[in-house]
Amino acid sequence: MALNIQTTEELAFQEEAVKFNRRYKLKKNGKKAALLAVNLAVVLVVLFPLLYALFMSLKTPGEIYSSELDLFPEILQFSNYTDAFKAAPLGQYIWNSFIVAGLITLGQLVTGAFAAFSFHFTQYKGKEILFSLVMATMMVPGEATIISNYLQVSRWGWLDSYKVLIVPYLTSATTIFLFRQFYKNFPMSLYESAKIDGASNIRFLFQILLPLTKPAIGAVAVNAFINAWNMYMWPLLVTGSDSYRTVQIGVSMMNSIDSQSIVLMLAGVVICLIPSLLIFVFGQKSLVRGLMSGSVKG
Amino acid sequence: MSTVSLQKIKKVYDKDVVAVKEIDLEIKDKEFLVFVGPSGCGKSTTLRMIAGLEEISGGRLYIGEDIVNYVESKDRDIAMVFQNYALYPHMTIFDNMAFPLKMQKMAKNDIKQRVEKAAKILQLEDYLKRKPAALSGGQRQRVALGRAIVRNPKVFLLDEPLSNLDAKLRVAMRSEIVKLHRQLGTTFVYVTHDQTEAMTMGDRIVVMNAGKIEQVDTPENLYNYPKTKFVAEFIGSPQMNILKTKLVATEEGLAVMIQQKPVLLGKAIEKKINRDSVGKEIYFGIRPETFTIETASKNNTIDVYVDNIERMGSDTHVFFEVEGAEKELVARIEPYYQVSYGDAIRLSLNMNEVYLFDAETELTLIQKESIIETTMVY
Ligand SMILES: Nc1ncnc2c1ncn2[C@@H]1O[C@H](COP(=O)(O)OP(=O)(O)OP(=O)(O)O)[C@@H](O)[C@H]1O
Ligand SMILES: [Mg+2]
Repeated sequence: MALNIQTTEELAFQEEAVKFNRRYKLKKNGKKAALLAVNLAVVLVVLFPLLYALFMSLKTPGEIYSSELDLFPEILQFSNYTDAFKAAPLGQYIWNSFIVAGLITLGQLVTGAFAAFSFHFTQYKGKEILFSLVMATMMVPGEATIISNYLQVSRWGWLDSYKVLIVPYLTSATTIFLFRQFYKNFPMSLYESAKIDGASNIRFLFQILLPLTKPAIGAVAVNAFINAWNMYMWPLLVTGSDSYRTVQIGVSMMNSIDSQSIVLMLAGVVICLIPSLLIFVFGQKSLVRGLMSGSVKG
Repeated sequence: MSTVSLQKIKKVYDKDVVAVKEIDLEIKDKEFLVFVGPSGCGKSTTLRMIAGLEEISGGRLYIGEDIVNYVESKDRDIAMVFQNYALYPHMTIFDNMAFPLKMQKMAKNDIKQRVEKAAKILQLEDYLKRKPAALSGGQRQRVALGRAIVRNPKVFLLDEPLSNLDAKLRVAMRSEIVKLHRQLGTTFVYVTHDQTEAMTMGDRIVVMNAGKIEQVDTPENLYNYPKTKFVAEFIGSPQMNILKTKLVATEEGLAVMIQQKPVLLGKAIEKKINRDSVGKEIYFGIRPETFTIETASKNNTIDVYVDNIERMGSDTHVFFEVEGAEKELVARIEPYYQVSYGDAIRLSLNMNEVYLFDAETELTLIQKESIIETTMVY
């Protein structure tokens, strides 16, 4: 430093630079803080219904019906949760929902991956028409077909069983569409190369395509599971006994027992939200990871 | 025998897009054949039909003795190297190269032996345990080559394998591939849009344009005896100069009109020209490297103004305008000439090394009989 003889101008310039830097940092931090505040506000709005349900589920029935608007329970009533399990066979409902949503997810993954593979990678006559037909089913609202479907399955004697909950949902146009969108970004030359190397379509699918589209599988699985878990109308129609009722239906029915049970129902609601949230939190990780690096130039 | 024979092979996309128009071609055993042509001329489509990746719309394709139109890719005994390498990113280099052998259900030991041998040839031994992402572009392309050679296929198909590499690496890989071809002694079919690559690598070159074959020949013959104006312009760098002009008969012999002056053709060329063409509109072609700077005015000199100069170090490209030319002409001259923009210079044309094409058909006017017989050079 001693050797560094500085003129006053240089010193002034340095001082100015330091000041500028400080001001810049302040400005940047200010911006960050503002963004954080906005984000927090949005998060609160989005999460409010969830938090509301959570707080309500921890109140006493009396508190719920009081006219005062108070979000927080006076004393946390964790007993609501244990009571909910006593009031109705919640465990059985949850188990049913897991079976149904799990098998539907599995079915949709398999059929979706295969169908999308054929739509994207192979060539045959009428492919485009077939695909448009599949997509057209997405445009038909479920409510329009639910009655005829009900009549159909009841004639088959399928009512009140796992299969009536699962089989109609084993494939879905949405899943096929999602898979195909993912495949569109998959380099065609990898398929062609595998063909020349002597791989069959099935082998290509299992050894190359699926391992490399894990993020797609994750995304599709999360989507399929949450949709299946949240099904309402269909299970309501086709199930009648506790042994096949899903948790969504079971919980909504708890409301009708007596006025005391509203908190139990809320506890049930929170319980049946948990798997969806967990699936989302864990599934999300696999959605963002890229697996294709190094395969092709570009 | 690893011959490939295309008989009236045609490709039509979507009912009306004709990508390849009935081409006939014999690819010889152990030959290095290069397809070259401008973008969209149908090179890749042709190669992909040979590979079985594209359905053949018409004609017959033979590999060896067999018609293979409806044979699946994997049963055609071919291997292909793609422009973007197409490696399997989740497999190690070893597994990438072993993949085709595993598909053949080969014994583990044999696979190991073959992969290691290929890795040695391609200097990839140290990378066998890595994944493709951990290799450089050149190394990845070598892996792609390795995956092709482990199978000992009858025919290698390569679609612009070097165009994703930088210029220096491309030149190095070019000679590596030629060496590999010599080492393996198999038929190579190579697609490129780069005429330098074609000229330096091919035993024979197929020049394609708009879905048709313009000419199939050795590099020397393509350069010296282009059959069409297209080939003449496509082969050689800088491009051949083309003038639209007339062929006239004078007392001293045949001449072409250049800047309103008849310039006599050399005797060697004159002999090969059909007299019927006299008086016709023609394209006159002359290569940039055949001009020389001259001081005295002669019958074969032209006086021009320098429009632009490109100094390459080893030589200098001088650009100038001449009446009747589609674009500026260029002359390649020795670098020690001091020329600058706007200078008037006098250039002499070597009238024994010129090219004449019919203005309508764009076919060469230089008769076939006198053309030196095509000889294969390996
Ligand atoms: N799948 C396709 N559907 C319709 N037309 C196609 C298809 N593939 C190629 N073509 C057309 O066929 C023609 C030949 O294409 P091709 O890929 O063989 O060209 P190329 O000579 O390899 O060009 P490049 O040097 O750009 O790779 C082009 O006009 C192209 O537009
Ligand atoms: Mg191409």
